[in-house]
Parts: sequence; structure tokens; C-alpha cells
Amino acid sequence: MFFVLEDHNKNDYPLLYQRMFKLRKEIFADQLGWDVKLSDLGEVDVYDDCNPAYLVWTNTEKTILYGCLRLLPTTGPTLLYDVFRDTFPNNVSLTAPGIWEGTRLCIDEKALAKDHPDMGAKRAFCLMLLALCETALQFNIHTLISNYEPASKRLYNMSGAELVELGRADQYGRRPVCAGSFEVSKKVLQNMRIRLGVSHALLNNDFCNDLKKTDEPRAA
Amino acid sequence: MYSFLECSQLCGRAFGGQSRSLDLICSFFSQMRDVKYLGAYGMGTLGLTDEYDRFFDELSRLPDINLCIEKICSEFDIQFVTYHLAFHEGKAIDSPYVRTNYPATWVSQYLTNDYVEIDPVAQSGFKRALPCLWSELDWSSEQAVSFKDDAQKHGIGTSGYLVPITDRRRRRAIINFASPKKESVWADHIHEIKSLLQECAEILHRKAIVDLYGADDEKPALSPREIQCLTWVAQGKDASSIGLILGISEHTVRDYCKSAKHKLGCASMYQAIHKATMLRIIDPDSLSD
Repeated sequence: MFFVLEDHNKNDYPLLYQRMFKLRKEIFADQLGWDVKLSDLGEVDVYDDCNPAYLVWTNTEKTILYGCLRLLPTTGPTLLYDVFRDTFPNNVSLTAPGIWEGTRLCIDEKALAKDHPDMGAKRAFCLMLLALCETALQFNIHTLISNYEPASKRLYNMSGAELVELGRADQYGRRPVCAGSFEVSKKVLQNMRIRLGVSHALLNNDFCNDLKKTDEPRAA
Repeated sequence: MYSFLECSQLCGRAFGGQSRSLDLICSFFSQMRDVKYLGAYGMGTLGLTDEYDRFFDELSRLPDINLCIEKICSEFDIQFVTYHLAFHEGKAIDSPYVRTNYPATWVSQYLTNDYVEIDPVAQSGFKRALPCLWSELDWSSEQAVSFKDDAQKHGIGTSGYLVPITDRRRRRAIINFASPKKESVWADHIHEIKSLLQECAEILHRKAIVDLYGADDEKPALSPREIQCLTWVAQGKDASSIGLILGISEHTVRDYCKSAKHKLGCASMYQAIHKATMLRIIDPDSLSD
């Protein structure tokens, strides 16, 4: 089940919040070695206090977290603007209604493998992107800005989301961190659905069984 | 309507080195707004401006936020619009800034009954980052039901759309659009106009901030790409040509233009080019032969 968590419904899902921050620590600090701020809660930064929306992927009961991502409007304070602006002199200061930042995209591969043993991590990543595209379309977002590791660009492209690299920086982790943007439109959504072999809406829709069709995105 | 040639001459004149006077540029823009086929400028095609640019332009020039509210209502077939700024620098301000065209009888009914404690829109609005229909809110409590009944008795539509805004200074506002239309009809209507309402919400927010804190005359920090794109738009290039010139996608060109427009606090591309020229952020002549 993919759905959106915001301040107004966060008290309904305290366990998902707890798990999300822990998972972010496991992925970004432990695995990727990014220079992120850690606390007892896990990886939490000031932007988590800026009233973000989180796209989460859970089991049907909404008790086990498979993946998450944080969404912030670029009209307000954002991570990429504040942190990466100086590093990418040209280009990550995009600020307008309709342009949102999606950061901290991560997947809990262990939790996923337990409940969806036949789904690979790559497909899971692509399904998150597809759900992200749907979410964006629903909420008047026409462009998503994101940061990612160079290797992930291939995954974006495999999913049918055409990621444009805006710049990259070296000093944040073991590998360079890139900033990029991708267009959101009905056409892009259609393209992603075809690539991923998904024919129906993912957001707020319980469909787990349909997701197992193929393990890898189809070749371009 | 002007021919393309006349437009080019006008354009050349307005941006000409010696005659860059405010009056001339203003008259150029006001005349340009009457041109039916903006495609001649390159701005009208491919989404750099759209048919509503003129509307947003006019909306943002109205002297008073209440007039803006009326204009939005008549343009988009909406009954009531409410702008509500509640937080400043992360803290609640003493008296929230509210502007609305709800009838005075309903406003006093609302205040007398302390409906703000019951109203699901007021209760959850500031906890939201993403826009939503009122029907997606929790109306299940008995109090909420009787509140809704009372609103209907006062002739207040109970279909609505809520747009939250957070700005760079962490000020938070919610803008509500209300209608007596049936929920299903309203949802379809909103689906058609939601991006436009988002723009309206931003314009109302900018008006309110100027109203409260005065105009921000700081020169905005535009990125080199944003400046390049604006400069080429001022030269009459469309998004696709600019994309080719700069080696970036058309969609990215549009993003840079929108971002520049937002940073300049402008409601349309015409205003943005005008302001960027006046502030000498761009020099449209710099690209001329």
C-alpha cells in the first residue's frame, strides 16, 4: 500500500514514523556513508520539522514499512536549496509552486524480501518512483527535484522517469551525490506504467499481488 | 491586434538602449496584453505563458486583497475564498491574518460559536503540506455535522478545496475555495482548475505579506541559468529554442522561467522580464548582434 503521511495523520502511524527515521539512518549513514545528522530517533534533520509530506510504502495493515520518501515544496525551506546550492552553482535553486523536492528515498530490502520474496530491490525502487509520479500528478506538482547516487540514475531511466542531472558534489559521501529533476505529466506516468507493467493506480490502492509480475523493469 | 513586424519594432523600442524608460516599457506590456496571438513573441507558445498569464497579471496588480478574492471568485465560478495566515517564523501570531468574502453574518456566527475548534478545515489545514478537497477531511463527529448544517443554513457552500502554502521564512497560510456545487461536480471542476488555483493562492499570499510587512525590495538571487533563460525569453525565443541554445530540455527551460518568475515575486512572465530588466538582473540587449 502506498500512501501519504502528513502532520495531520502522523499520530495514527507512530510506528511507521519511528521505523522511517531508523531506516534512513541504516541507508544514508551506515550504507552510503552520507554526512547526515543522527539522533536517538535515527536520521532526522530540520526539514522533518518543516511540515513535509512523506510518501510511504507499507503492507496492507500499514504496520511494516517497505520504503519512504520525503516531499517538500520548493517555495519553502528545502534541503537541496540550503545544502547543495553552493555546490551546484548553476542550478539547484529552482523555486516555484509546482516544483517539489523529493529526498531521502529509500527501500527496506530486508522487510521487502520477507513479504515479497520474488521482488527485486530494483523493481521496488522503480515502483516507489511510479507511486511518486502518481502522487505528484494528484497534487499539482509538475517537476520533482531529487538527490541521488550516480548509479541510481540508471534506475530512474529504467522506470521511465527521465531524470535530468543538474549537478553533482563529491564531499558528501563515499561516492558523488547528484541533484537532478524529472518532469511529471500524464505522458510520463503512462510511459512508466508501460515500462513497469503496472496497469492501475498504486496510490491508496491495495494491490500487492499485482506487483509481482516481473522482477526487473523492461528494457528501454 | 499587432502584426509580428510591429510587435518586433515595439519590442526593439521598448528594450532599446536609450529609451528604457518605465513608461514606455509599461505601455509596451499593457499593449502586449491586448495582442491576441502571443505566439509571435515566443512567450505564448510552449507553455512559457498561457492564456491565464494575463489574468494573473491583472490579479496581482489589484490594489487590495479583497478585490483579488472577488476576481478569483468570478473567474473560476467559486462562491467564497478565504486567505488565512497563521504562523510566522514557526510561531503562531497573536491575531491571525484572515481575508475572506464570506458574508458578515456567517463570520460572526463562526466567531460567536467558536467554530474554529470544530471546523475540520481550520483544525487540519495547517497540518497539511499538500492540497486537498474538503471531502477528504474528517467530518465524522457530531459537532462537525451540525457545523456543516449551520453553514448550509447560512447559504455557505460546503464543497471546498484547501491549498496550504509554506514560504522560505516558514510562514504558513491556508487558502480555501468554497462552493455550493455538489461534491462530485466540484471535484471535477477542481480537477480542471487546481493548478490555476495554486497560482491564485500564491498571489494572495504575496499580497498578504506585502500588506503585513511591506514590499520586499531586495534584489532576488537568480541562478545563472535562470538569468540566461529570462534573457532569451526577453529576446523573443520560445522554450524549445532556448532549450536548443542552452543544451537543456524544454521542460527544464520552463522550470527555470517559473522559478525566476517566483523569485522575482511576479505573477506573469511579462512582469518578470520587466522587473528583471528594471533591476538590471538581465540585459536583453546583451544578446543582440
